[in-house]
Amino acid sequence: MSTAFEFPKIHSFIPFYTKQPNATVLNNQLDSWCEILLGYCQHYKITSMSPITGKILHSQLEEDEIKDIPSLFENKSIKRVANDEFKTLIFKHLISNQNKAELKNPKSPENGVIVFWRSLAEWAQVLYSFVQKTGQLGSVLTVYELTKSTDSGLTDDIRNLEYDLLVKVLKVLVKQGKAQILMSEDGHEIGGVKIV
Amino acid sequence: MNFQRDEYYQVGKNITRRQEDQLSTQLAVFKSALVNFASDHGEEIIHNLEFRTKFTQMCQSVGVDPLNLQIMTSGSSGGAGSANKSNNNNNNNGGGEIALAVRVVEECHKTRDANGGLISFKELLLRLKGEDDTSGSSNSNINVTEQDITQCLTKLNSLGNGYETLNISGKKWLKFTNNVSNDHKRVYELCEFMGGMVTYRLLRDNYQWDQVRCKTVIDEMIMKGFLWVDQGESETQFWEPSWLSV
Repeated sequence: MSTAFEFPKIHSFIPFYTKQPNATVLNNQLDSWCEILLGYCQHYKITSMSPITGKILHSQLEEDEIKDIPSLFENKSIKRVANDEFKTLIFKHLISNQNKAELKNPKSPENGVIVFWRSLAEWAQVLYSFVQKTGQLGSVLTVYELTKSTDSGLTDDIRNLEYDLLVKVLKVLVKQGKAQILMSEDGHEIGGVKIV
Repeated sequence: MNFQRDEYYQVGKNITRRQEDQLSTQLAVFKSALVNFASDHGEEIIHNLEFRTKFTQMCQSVGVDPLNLQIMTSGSSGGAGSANKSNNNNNNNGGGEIALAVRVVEECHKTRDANGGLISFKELLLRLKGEDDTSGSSNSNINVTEQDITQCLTKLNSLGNGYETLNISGKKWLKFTNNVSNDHKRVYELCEFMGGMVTYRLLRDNYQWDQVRCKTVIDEMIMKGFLWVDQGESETQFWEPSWLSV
């Protein structure tokens, strides 16, 4: 991850950080924000953010790389920053109008939103073809083996995949009849997964 | 077993990539041949209906926009020299101008929600050129000038008066909406002078407008989408929305 995300020019447009009073313009502005947000999350492999502060909650990158990620909602060169109220509005637009994000827990937004720069169906495809290519169809895999292990040939695509997202992806595979989930003894966590 | 499968996968990927490279080179060569062909046989393409249909079909099958071709071919011969250019106009550069006019209308529609129907020539030119970069065909450099736009607008106006050129502080703007008043123009004049924005204070100091007039004009312009609001500093700023040319 040596290259920085290239923000489009509108990111340096001073009023871009103020909520526009004209409804048509505002809609256009929110669309632009969402487009940038999705590109930014994809570039830095960010899968969840706080819809209130805009803080990055999970990225698949390594710790020291995450520290270097530039801010999305602040542009120091023009001294502008989107306020929390406006950030919330942007995430609302992303969730309701674009269906590109989902609250982890609808009752408590502070837990964060999962950002779908890749759709759940696409994630399911990525995960399935990894298991297929490594010849592990039919064997029981742990969550560790699927996302953390260093010796199972994990691709960058799924290394460090966020647990909450993994659960959603696995549920898609279950629905497609391609996976079975084995719960741990206390019944709260996934103990193992069999993908067939 | 696992290892072997991986090897096969790698080999397969390499072959696919090589084929892709070859194909895209071929396509690029073919595209540039098309450009040459279009400029050599421009006359025939325009006048011979059957020939034109076949040509358009060929363009479509390789993903080349015939409109772009026409702009490029007319642009490249026009760029050779001004004497050549006037000559060109006498013949039939019409195809290129109409093609450009279509692109201008497309850009105007695309940006309308953000700028309310008033766009500077500078930004329009940047967009016309920029659009081309994103389509991925690096060899198709459209060379459009302000003059080209003015000319294609005369063509557009024969269809009705939707598009009009305004002069604001020596800069040309394209207006494709009704309802641009004199006061609106003066606000844009001041924006031009101030690097893109105005404030109530700036309007009062420069035009001696009273508070009511300032507020009415600004509110109107916000409602029409001509101005964006910035509240990042203690004094509210109103920005003219052409961030591309900043």
